[in-house]
Amino acid sequence: MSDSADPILEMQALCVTYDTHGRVVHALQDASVTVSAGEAVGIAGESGSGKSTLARAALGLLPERVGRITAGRVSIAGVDVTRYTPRQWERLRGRPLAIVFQDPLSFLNPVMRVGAQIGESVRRHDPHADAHARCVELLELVKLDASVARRYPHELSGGMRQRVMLAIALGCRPRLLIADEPTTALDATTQTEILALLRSLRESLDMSLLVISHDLGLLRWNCDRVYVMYAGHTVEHGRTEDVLQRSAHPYTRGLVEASRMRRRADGRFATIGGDVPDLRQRYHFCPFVARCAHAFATCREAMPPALPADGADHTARCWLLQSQTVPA
Amino acid sequence: MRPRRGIVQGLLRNGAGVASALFIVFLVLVALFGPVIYSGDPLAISDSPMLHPGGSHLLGTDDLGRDVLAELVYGVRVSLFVGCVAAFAATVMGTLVGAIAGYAGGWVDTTIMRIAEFFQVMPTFILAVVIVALLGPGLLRVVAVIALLSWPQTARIARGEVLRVSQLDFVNGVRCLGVPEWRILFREIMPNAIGPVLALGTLIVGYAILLEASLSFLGLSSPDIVSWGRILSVGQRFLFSAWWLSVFPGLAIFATVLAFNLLGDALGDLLNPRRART
Amino acid sequence: MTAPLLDIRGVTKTFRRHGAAPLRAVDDASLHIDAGECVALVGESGSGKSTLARIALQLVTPDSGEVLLEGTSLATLDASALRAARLAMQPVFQDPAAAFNPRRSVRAILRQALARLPGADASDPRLETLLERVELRPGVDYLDRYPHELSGGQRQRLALARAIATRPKVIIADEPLSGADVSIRAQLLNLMGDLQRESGVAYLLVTHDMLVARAFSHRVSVMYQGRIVEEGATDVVLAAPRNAYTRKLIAAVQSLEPVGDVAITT
Repeated sequence: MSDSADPILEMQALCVTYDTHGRVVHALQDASVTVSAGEAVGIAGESGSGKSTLARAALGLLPERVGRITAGRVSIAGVDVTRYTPRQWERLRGRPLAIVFQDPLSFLNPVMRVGAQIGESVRRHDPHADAHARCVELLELVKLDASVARRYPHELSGGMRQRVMLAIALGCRPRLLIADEPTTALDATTQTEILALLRSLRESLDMSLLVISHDLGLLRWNCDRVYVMYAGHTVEHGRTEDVLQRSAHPYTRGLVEASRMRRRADGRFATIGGDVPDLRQRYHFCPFVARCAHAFATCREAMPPALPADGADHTARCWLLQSQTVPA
Repeated sequence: MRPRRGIVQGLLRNGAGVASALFIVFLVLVALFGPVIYSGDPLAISDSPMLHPGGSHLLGTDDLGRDVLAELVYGVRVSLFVGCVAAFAATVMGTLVGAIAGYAGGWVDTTIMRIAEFFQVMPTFILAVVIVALLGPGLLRVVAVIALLSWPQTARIARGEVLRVSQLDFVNGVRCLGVPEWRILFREIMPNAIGPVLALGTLIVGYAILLEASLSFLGLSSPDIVSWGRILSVGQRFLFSAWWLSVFPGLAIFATVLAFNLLGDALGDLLNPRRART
Repeated sequence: MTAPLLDIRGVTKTFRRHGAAPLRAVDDASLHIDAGECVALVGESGSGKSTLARIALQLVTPDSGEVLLEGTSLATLDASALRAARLAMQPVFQDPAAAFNPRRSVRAILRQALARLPGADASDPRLETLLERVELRPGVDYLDRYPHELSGGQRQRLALARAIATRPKVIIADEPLSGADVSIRAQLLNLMGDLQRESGVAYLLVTHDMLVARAFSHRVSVMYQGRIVEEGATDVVLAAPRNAYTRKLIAAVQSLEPVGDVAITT
């Protein structure tokens, strides 16, 4: 592709709409994400934040005719793929990028042995490869015994299936692995195993990682940098420690506090009031304004740009930063 | 309980569904008011046989001088009657039986399903011919035969839906309120299970109409019933000389069955419980 | 010493399966809840915790053991007493999408619950009060809506509204927070706490998430492969777990705290 200085994935001011029977949902309204070589980046958000749409847009997986990129740019290794046709995507997919989803059971073919599915992925990338040998290699990489290759998906536990999905994704030697809620369907004990596996894979394969999750703890352990999404916008970005410990955006702060599930002095749990944002409307002002305790006039008029916050490369789209007042 | 909203809007969006529904409404109107316009006995033998379409006999006359258009109009009643009654009977029987099988489970389920399979395995058409040939023609007999042979399909669908719905948590929620089981089946499960059953019912109408036409084509219907199939059987003898005796009833049967099939398809899509809700 | 409100004693349940070995989902499990307290039943998938909850709710009949409500075994009750007992133990399920009959409006759902309570007022104003108690305000706006028109968080609130409608003594909640977003979870926990303070209702909170158990329960029982492997006051169990599996669960949860200094050690 192009030279290695280009970020592997770059999304700038991306807007995506879903149009079903005249009902339009603005799933992404202004999202910007960059992942460079060797990095682990996280995207934090709840339902309706647009994080899954982002993952799909990155791989051209938006539902045909229904999902469209209406503004902004997506480029993979320097190549602008925003207007790519499905044919072009087919040739591109599985090479620089690969994706792992939340529910391996619905992703894996139930009537095909696991080894065959891994082999399929290998051969798609390199038709002349020794699929069997590579399959064994990949199973080892995800810490599964080679005998697993002969089993069917339903014979495996949730954790094993997720490892198989990882093996399939890695079969094409991607430069970037996107993991969309990789452990949500798994038990807590299995979660930590998979997360540790992701970390070791990243290191041994020198692969970039983009992890999308609502679980902040997960992102903390796997990612160097984190983006926080709300209502289709990337509202905060920076090094993980900065974003989680010195959050600049009121939403991030609320999210972190709510995640910890610790009672405050008054015995109640910290929460963000209100309900999830309505994505049928396009926000030209801060989408969090309805739920924000610190909102003021400007917040209702215009969308704040990314303003610098506490820490290197730490920015948040919040008007509070402009007046340099950090609320207690 | 209110019916699910949006069914009418959904139907309106499906062009084929709309066209079919309108056509069927038209047929019903013809069935109700046609005979008023065409007073007189359509079976009356007149003295102008084998007339070409046109003039006072818009679609021509048959070998006994009967006006084809009048026969078609009267024939709508027979077709709709047989189709709807047979489908209704099959749907009601099948739904009840299937629901009980699905809800009760165990040996009740197994027994019922084996019986259903027995009926399903039989070749419908041949059986219909045999029964009518043995017992003599009669509209109600035809209806009964069709219903008897179609209920297993409905039962199977109803059973599947009942099984699916009874796993859902809301059924347990209502159970924890102490609502008796029979009430749960009829007021909680059934309304949510009948969607696909209704769609199938519409398809059965089409099938029943076709079956009835086939039986009358073979002369197994009574001669004093005006049926499209009967006109066809006359037409068969004069296929090349009196083409209108085959074409018009054929078109009528085709259009009617197609309309019910398309409507059934549209309903099937709409009432599919897996369909994403708006 | 008063009898516990809900006492599950030594229940066992084995499921027969086609073409597979029988599954002992619950193996001699015992659990008790006192009035006004919240007990968490923690276990991962396959632990049998949902089955145990269903046994408590009388949705599944155990092969052995018994369930006592306020000292009386439910198996010995006649039909009308059983009906009253059921109203005293109400469920809240995990998946808000399947928790309500899609053809019933909010009004119909709540009326159905209230109708089971003899002499209860099921008028609209009463329903509105019920909705407002779970913070669905204004209540009147929600009465004509259908479950699929509500958000996930709103549906769980509705589930709580239905659960408290019959003035139960204990609410058995099977993973009530699992489908909800993080910010909504905290809201729901606050609501559940408020309801407990107002009416003294007890909770059996079934969850796979030790964090939720830590946040909300007085006592915790840990379930593994059908058996209760540890139980006790939540703070005590979390500080000094005696069972290896409990330790594993706690470690997994601690490592996933968004702020703090525990590292993943696998």
